[in-house]
Amino acid sequence: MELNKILFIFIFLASSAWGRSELPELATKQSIENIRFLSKNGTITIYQQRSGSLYLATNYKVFELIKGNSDTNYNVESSASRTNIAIEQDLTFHKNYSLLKNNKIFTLLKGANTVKEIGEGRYPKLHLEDKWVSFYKPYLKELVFHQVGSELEFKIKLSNKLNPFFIPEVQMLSDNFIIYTDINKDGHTGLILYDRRAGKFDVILKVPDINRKVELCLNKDHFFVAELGLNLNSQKTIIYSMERAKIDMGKSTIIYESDFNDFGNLNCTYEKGFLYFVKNMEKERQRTSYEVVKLNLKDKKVSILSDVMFATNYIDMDGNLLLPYQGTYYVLAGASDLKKFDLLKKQDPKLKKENE
Amino acid sequence: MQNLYSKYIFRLALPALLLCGQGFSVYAQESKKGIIESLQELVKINQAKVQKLETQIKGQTEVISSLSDLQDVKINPITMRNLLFYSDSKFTSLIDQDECRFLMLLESSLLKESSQTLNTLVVDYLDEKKQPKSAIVTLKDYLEFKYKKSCSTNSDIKELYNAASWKKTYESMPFVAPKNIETCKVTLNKTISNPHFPYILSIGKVLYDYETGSKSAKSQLNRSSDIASLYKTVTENLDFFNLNYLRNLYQNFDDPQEFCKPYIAEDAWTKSLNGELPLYVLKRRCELISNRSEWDTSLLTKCSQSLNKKPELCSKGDSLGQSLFPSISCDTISDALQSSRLYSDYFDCPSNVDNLSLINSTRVINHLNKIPYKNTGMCSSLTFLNLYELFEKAKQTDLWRFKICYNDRADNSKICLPYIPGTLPDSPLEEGKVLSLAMSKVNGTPDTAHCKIVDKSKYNPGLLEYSIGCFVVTDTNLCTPNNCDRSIYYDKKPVTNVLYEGDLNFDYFPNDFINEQYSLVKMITESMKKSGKIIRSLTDLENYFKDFKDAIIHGVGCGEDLYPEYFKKTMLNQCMPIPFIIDGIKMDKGQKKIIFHASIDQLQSPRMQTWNLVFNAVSNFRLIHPLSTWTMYGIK
Repeated sequence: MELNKILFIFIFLASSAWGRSELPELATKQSIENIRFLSKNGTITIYQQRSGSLYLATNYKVFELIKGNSDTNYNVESSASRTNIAIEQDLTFHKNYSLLKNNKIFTLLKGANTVKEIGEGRYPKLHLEDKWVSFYKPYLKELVFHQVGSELEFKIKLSNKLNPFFIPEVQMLSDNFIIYTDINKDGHTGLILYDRRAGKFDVILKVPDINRKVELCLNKDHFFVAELGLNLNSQKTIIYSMERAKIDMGKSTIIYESDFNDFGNLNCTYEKGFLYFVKNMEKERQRTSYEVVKLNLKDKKVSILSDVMFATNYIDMDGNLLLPYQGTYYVLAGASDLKKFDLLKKQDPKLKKENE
Repeated sequence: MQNLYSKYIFRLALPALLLCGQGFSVYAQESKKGIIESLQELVKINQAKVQKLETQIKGQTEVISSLSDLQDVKINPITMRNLLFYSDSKFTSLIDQDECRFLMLLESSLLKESSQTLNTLVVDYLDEKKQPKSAIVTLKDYLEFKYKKSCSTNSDIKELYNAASWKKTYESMPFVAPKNIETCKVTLNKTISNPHFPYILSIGKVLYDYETGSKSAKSQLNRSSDIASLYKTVTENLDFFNLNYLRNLYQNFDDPQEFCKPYIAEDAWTKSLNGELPLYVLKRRCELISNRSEWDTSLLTKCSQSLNKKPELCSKGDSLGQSLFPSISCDTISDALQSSRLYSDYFDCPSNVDNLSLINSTRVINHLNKIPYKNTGMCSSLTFLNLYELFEKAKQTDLWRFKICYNDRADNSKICLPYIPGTLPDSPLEEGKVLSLAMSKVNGTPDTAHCKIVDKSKYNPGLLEYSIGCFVVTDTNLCTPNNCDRSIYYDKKPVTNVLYEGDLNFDYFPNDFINEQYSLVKMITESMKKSGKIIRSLTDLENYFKDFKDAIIHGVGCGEDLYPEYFKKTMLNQCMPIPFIIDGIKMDKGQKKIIFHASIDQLQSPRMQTWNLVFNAVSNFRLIHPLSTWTMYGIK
């Protein structure tokens, strides 16, 4: 019995050291590298082809959404609201490794099979039940907020001059209140609340250490703020929680603390009552290690979800929680076998004629 | 033992000698003012004795023609006392019982009778009537006299340390930086026991006097042609490490802890200062934190002390808004630099160049060439120039992407001239020069009218300085080759028949088989005749570095996996490709860490990265690469 235990632990450690996971791999009919979005039940797939075009496949129909070229890559962003989709098209992805260049941003409304170009920038993000999309213009250091389906747009200019590769965190509390992060002239990260109607900016948190960053997460009831260290100069993670209706750091509660720098990547919308993030496991394992965990907001217990030793990110893909690791996608939560729902075939011309 | 001697025995003996004085001078009985006297009193007494001696000597009418005719010639006890009193105790401690060494110290000007250099001595002798007398002789005469009677080898040894011969002598006893304090002390004791030691010290003295002395002291030194030429030849022929060793030996040979400090120091800054690491490691770091470009030894020493005392200087002072911020602390950078081999004696500016492939390519090229930049100019322009030289070497200049175009006046054909963006005063390909040339062809403007790049906030055609000439007006903070709104004006008039063309699209690794030979990596390996080796594991990496001492590894990986603390992934197959270089490996707190330079980091600030994160990043990038290429290769 003891020997079996030892053997089990040895195998577990060995497989962990090799980085192989016991988690199920995501199975798709199409090569995963082509896919950019897969709905939870597999009925909707957005994928790109070698030609550089982006396609939408649904209900046995395929639509070409956007044309591209062989150097093109797409990012497709969805949210927990599962209504609209934002798409970023990088036409020179394989030729121009720039973190600053502007890419075309499109929106795809629910049920639609055509996209609308709304501007140029990076890092599109959906807000307020997908009614708004924000994106960032790195050269101008400007956040742009665009109301989906209309021409309404406003901008916020950042102060940051020290970090050219800074990507601000953004959350829209409402049409009029926006919270975002910025860096001041001394290199300190601040959390700013913008009142659009009054045109006022209020610094609600200023991190006194240049070696720390701030991450945000917003769900229906709560607003979460994580303060994390960026390097060994500042080792600590703190996560605050407050009511969405009362954004006030003074009234926030610390729900999690660690003496190590977690990677973050907060998700507070996947499962009610839980906060997901990537945690530093050095304290528990006495060596460099990171795993995806979930924090129970009631009893503050942390459960480890991944088993690869060096998890860096995870993705909430329309309700399936995925771990991209060494070129494979593992399923942390949700369905793993989406083969039967994913479709490769283009619309049959005979069928198309009948439908017309 | 020696230290004990110099520290205690001489320091006790000196006041004792001055207080008692009985065995040494005829005038000793006059100094009985009490046992406890202040040092000032002692100095006054001594000065009085010297004056009395000098008066006595001046009163003598005898002229000393030659010391060799005299009997029982000795240095006058008061003079001897002065030598002991005024000389640095660390030199007097070397006297020991060895007369030859004492003479060497005298000859090397390491002993002195007052604050001035010793040129004359008072000697006592017995005249024909066996009467004691004193006389002033030149040091030179005294030494000549002594060397005829004893210590004759001194003059031979002295010749080995003149301006013509010192280099050969010095090279015969090279100093190797010791690895620990014990080895250092043994080495130091050996050096001190060397019969040549005072002459070795004299070279350090020349360096010290020249570099720390006042202007008047330096001009005095310059009057001695021997010393001036010795200083010149030493500084021209010795490297920084050996110069520092000689200075250090001269200043600290009596304090082993202090002497050994630079050699057992753990930090990269001190090691750079003493020559164990290239000097540019410290120099470039100091330039980054202070904007000064001229650095001498004293400033560099102060800078290295600051870097050790305030490690946060590197985190904030590292970025001019051109690389990832914040960087890491000076001590972490120092740890990483000691295992780093990437050549970094220049600056590049990642965000200004914009396409990170170009930054990584020039870092690889510069490491393989190891030639500092000759040209002056804008930071990003130097990177583009470097790259253009690669295209020239690969005979692919027709593929150079930055062009200024116009329609030929004769046949309206489109002519495009290659240019390098930004400012490069020494290069004919500088943007302003090529623009002037293009305008002269199409508008008939003088081709010598150099077009200047001006920030749009400054450009005002109403001002005289902008009313005549050619100007390219742009937002210089925002202008990168990916994103630049330019307007050209000549004599206040907009120029629209000369256009900029081009983009930053270059393949780093090949993205298709047809254009494989035009990728940057292929051009580098073929035109520079280098070979690449795929690196798939940590073992591959370790073996590669072990086998090839100067090789580096380069690759491309997803930024969200390389630096998850800065960038996060929220979308399927999301990846921001970031080229990188790995140039070393070291143990850090029991774990292996690789020395990592991402192209978004400042070149001089390597990080210690975990192999697994890099492997993950390259694996995830491979997934979406058109050829599914494993993008991590060694190059040598």
